[in-house]
Amino acid sequence: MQKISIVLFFFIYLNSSFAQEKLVVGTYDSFSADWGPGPIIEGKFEEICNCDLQFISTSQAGNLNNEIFLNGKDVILGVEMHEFDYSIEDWHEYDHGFFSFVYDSSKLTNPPKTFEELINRNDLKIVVQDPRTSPVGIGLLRWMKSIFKDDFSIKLKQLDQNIITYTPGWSEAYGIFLEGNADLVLSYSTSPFYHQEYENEYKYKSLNFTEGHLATREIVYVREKSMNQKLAKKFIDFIIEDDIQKIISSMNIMYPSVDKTELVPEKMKKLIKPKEIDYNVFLESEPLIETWLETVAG
Amino acid sequence: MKLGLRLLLANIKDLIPIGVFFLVLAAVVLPVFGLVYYYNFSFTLNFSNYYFTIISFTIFQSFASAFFSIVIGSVFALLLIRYRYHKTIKLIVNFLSILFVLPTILSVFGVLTFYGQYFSVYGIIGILIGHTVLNTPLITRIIFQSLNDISSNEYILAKQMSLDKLGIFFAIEWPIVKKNIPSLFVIVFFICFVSFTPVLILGGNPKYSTLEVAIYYSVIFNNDFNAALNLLLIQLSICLFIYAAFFKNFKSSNFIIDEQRNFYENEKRGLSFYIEIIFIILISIFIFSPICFIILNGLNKELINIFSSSYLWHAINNTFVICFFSGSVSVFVALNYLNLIYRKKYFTEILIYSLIIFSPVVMAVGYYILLYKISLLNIPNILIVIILNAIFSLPFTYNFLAPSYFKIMHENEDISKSINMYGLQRFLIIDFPRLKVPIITAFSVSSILSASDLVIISFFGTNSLSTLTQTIYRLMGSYRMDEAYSVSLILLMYCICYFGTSYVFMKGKLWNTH
Repeated sequence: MQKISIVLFFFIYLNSSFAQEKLVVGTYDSFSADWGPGPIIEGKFEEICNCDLQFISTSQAGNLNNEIFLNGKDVILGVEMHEFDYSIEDWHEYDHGFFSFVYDSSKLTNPPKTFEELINRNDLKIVVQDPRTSPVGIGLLRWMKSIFKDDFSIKLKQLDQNIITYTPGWSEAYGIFLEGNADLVLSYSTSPFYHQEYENEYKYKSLNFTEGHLATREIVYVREKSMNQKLAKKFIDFIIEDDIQKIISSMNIMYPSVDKTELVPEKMKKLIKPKEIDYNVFLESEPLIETWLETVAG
Repeated sequence: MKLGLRLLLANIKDLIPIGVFFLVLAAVVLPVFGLVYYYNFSFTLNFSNYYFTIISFTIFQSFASAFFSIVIGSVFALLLIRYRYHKTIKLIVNFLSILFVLPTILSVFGVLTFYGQYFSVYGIIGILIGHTVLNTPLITRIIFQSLNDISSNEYILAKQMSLDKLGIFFAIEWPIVKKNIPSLFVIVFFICFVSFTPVLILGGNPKYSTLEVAIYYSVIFNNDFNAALNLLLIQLSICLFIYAAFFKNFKSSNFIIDEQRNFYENEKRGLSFYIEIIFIILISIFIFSPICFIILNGLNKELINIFSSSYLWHAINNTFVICFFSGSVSVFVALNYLNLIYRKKYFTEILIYSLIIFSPVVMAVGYYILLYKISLLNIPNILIVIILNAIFSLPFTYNFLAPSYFKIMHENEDISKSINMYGLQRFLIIDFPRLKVPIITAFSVSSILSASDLVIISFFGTNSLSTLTQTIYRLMGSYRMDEAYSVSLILLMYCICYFGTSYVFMKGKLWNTH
């Protein structure tokens, strides 16, 4: 046992690196994963900063705002605009997209054209995310509240008739959809781009409602407690440079932060960009979730 | 000087187990203490109707799930034991432990894909099917192990008394199954009580939920630790009440059975034979649906590409390190704990079993606060992951080891007295060779259980410290469903290799000290 612990001790010490200035960026899994934009950005930034950029990620997007996750991070990348505390000084949006429902056009030939129609279509099986555990799930509530205002809970009840299940996160919902267990899944309007670009599969499409779609913007910011303010700000400026924006757009499957067409990947340009819904009053998540629970579980 | 040294040596055998006991106690109490201290906990009981609904539903579904799992699991174990010498049956038995540790999401997808075609699986039916599929393998494996310990003499005696199958069942097998039921019931009840992913997905509606979901929401989204701790407290009270009601007379040390086996039943292949075989096939199909799902989906065009990706090998490497060390720590702690319970009857097993109900999210947060906020210790993440996994797999390690441990210690009591050999020396020379098989089984199960963890690794893992299970979820989170299925297949192969290697150790003479 003693020998093992000594071996383990050395194993760990050999693994820990002693580097120059270190910038710790907290983000979510799919950004920093081997196949995400993270590693490329890390390489490019380290070329110019003479520093060690380190991504620490969490599998739960909701975690990003959690104070226990924030601890020890200089920069947080990936906070959704609705969850962001705008009193923070140094921040920037780095990509955006629209919530939408994705379907398989080879199976669903008459997709609904309005949210109202979606609610009334009893032939459709929809899978969405639980708003208590997924930011996408909260997105749906905000979207519906913005469209239906006072009718929110009535429409929620109606839509619930078509919803087969509320999953803990986006992955489970999308998996259920791809397995063919649902006709529609709540995701982003740019989701079909992934299948086109990386799988050469064109059958997946997203719904385009005349009422408009709720936008989602992702934010990167410098933590006030960070000891590396200068380096952290440099990183944020770096993230919104054109060539990095291109990488983010094509690998994070979202539109770049500013609407410059030359930054949008070719196949993404061909997707229909939904009309953005008016969203002037900020909607707190907790009352929405309470209404949802009362309506759906009551 | 000499006397002092001898006294120290004499007491050292108590020092380690008692130290281990307090470590386990600290492992449970400290993080909760950390949370209470850090967040100024106050006990408040203002719950909406929703909570009462989900609490009563949770109690109901946990009872029902435990009931079905135990009925099917025991029947399956009884059938398997009849044909235990058949190769296919041996294979099924070995696969049972692997089934128990596959990522939950894959089992859930398996249920959706295989049963979803025939009827709507969402709702209470889906939850029950899901929980039964998930927990039956564990039950079958443990009951099978106990039944396997029945002496052939008992069967021969039963034959001489010309008992029929039903007679044998009531005279010999039922008492063994019955002894297992309380602890297994509590374990499955606890697992279903804190179930997260299966309940959310298969429930289909928030009215079918668990307190664990509410705890998760309070911790992760609301930063409301007060609410989380209150919910945890309620969760604990209900589970401890259930334990007290069903479990208080139970002690694993009740298992004292002879060894020696190799009794072959030579029976005519009558109608009952075919009925039994059909049942074995049906139950196998039922509980092996997740493995079928993984194999069917994992064999895709991404499989080959994945082998050349660096993330896979990193993940395999990390998974192995975490598995091996946390399995070792878990077995070490479990053995010491067993030693303590064996010799000092007033130490209780509930501490070990209660680890299941301590919400992993809350515990992980508790540790996070202890380690980073209060800066109690400054230790590398991989060590935290290993230790926490070792702690969380303890109930299972313990349950796998306990029956054989008590039996063998009891039987070796006289020998050790006659040759005046005690403590560690006795354990290594007399007990260990006989305990080798259960130790290795418990080691493999708890190791692999650590491989299936997702909560601890998501709190303490870093990008360079990612496991296979976490990689599966990460791939799923980036549209890469096919790759995720392929990695699942690799995880399955990994588990098989891990168990296979352990099996070689078990059979081989490598460890044989006799």
